[in-house]
Amino acid sequence: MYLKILPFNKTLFKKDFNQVKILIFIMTIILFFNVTLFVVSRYGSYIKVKKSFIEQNVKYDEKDLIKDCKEDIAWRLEDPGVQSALMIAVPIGLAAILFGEEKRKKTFEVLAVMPYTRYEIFFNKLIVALVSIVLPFIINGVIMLLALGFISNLRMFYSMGQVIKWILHSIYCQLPILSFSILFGIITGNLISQLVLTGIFLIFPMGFSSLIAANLEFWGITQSLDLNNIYFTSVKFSPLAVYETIGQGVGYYFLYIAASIIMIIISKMLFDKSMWERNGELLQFENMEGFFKFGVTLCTALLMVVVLIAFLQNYIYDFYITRFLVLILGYILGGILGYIGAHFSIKLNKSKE
Amino acid sequence: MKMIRVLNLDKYLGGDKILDNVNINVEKSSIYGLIGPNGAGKTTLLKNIVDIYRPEKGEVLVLGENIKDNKKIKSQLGYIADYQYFYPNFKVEQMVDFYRNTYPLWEEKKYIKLKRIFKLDEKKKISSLSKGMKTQLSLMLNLSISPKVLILDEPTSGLDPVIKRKVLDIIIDEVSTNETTVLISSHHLGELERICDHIGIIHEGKILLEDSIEKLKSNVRKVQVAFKDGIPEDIKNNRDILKIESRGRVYEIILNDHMDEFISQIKQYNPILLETIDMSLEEIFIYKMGGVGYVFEDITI
Repeated sequence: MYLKILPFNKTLFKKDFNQVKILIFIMTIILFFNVTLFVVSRYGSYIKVKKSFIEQNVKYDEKDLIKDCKEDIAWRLEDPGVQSALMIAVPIGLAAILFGEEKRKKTFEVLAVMPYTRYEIFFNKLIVALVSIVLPFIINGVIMLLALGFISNLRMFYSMGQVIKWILHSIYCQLPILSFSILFGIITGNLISQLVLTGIFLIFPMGFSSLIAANLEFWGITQSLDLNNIYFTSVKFSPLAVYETIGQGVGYYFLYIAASIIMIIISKMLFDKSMWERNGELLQFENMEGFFKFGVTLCTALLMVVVLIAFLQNYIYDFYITRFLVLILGYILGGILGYIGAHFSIKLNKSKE
Repeated sequence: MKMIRVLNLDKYLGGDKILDNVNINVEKSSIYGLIGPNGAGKTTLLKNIVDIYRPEKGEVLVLGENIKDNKKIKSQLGYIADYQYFYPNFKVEQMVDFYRNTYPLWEEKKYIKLKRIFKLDEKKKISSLSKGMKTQLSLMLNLSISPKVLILDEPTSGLDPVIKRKVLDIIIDEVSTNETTVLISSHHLGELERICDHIGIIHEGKILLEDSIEKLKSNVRKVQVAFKDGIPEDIKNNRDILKIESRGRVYEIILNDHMDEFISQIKQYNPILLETIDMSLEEIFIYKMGGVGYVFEDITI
């Protein structure tokens, strides 16, 4: 009944799923070798270590050995390395394939003519993206749970609750990154601009506040501002900060899930308004070009000063006037370069009918 | 019954007005040819009709309903683009499956028949198909959905002469057996003349003329005339003359309209030669375009 109300379409789902299944497969395999295999083989490793201790007559505490194995598993399930990197890269990749690739190859034109509404096209892509971030964790989670069921000795190392928590946390962490990537997939016009701008804006709050802080320092007004506070506040505005919220309280979970839903709703509204003749261009919406030019000009101006000061600091730091001139020169040079760069990156990607 | 109606359509691309207050009407079971010079706005107009582009002003009605996000109408609408944007990583059979599962009126028998005509290998990847093969695939798919309205943008470009002939025959057959309405744009005016019953000429985003080929050809004609003492001034200055050329005493006059009145006018001066000659669509197009400043010039290198 609800499936009829929701614009779910099996054909669209299958088509989109086919496009991303390789990504799901890779994610599942990497998770298997990085997490699942490590977790389910703990009992074997525990026996091996115990055996070697006995053979070498090394005294050991059984409880400590079990505790070490438990900690190894807990650490692996919260692994900030490969797993976290995947949890950032995969949602970005999914949005890139589902939106950027369709724009680059102009296959949205095929869908536009077919008997599908834009809502259906968007909704099924969203469902595929959600399934894709969930599936690898579900598959690996189920393997770990089955191992727990069949190998009773594993129960002393990890619990069912731990695995379920791992699945839920992994999905939760990917949600804001996925919705952020989808939003950028909608507002950008091609694959390259989508990947570049998603990457830039994921770290933008930290990068921009650091640039501001560095520039304020050059002007000698650092003392009056609590820059550390500015930096740590700005970090929270990046979807990447979701990783810092694990175990910090239910409030954060609600906040990030709500933010993800809002980004999805905005994406859907913008998708409806998309002019598909701009597919392949840098930005999907013409009225964003001014903002883009301004943003790139400002950031390049701020960055150019940082670069110039880094190169010339030995020569100018003691002379206020020279430093002042270098700062002004940096802003002008950076501003001009930024504006030209932004202008031409828009112009070069203009579609020609 | 009007199957396609474009009403007061304006479309801008990159800040330029590509379509300017365009109105066209396509009758049921007719083949409507859209012609115009390069950059006139033909593709943009067709993309607006099939809902790829959305107009800034005006609306497009297909089968009497607005096309925008209209699933019911789109399931009866086929579109063959000038360049086929298929999923390149798909095999032909996957693309066929996608269409088969999407269109409720998919006709398997027709698809099998078309497959036999075009002999396209279903196991091939779309990325390995040539432009002509992709057009054939698009034609197979779009005819198999049993369209009530079929829009074709330069469908024969990139096809060899044999396939080109097959494609045109299939389109004619589709119209005669299924009463499909066809809107086709092409630079090959000879082809359009063979298959179309209506023509629309578009230039700089505006529709210059919309008429049946029959009427157009009866209106725009060439008259060869010779007078003993040269051409009378009032004939020379007739408002309906598109072009006048002289070869000795023989004048070749291209007339835009009011042929009967013009002939009567000529007869008053007792011409020593009077002959009316039918013109091809290509000639009509060239002279009509000449009338709006799009002039063909002889270039000698």
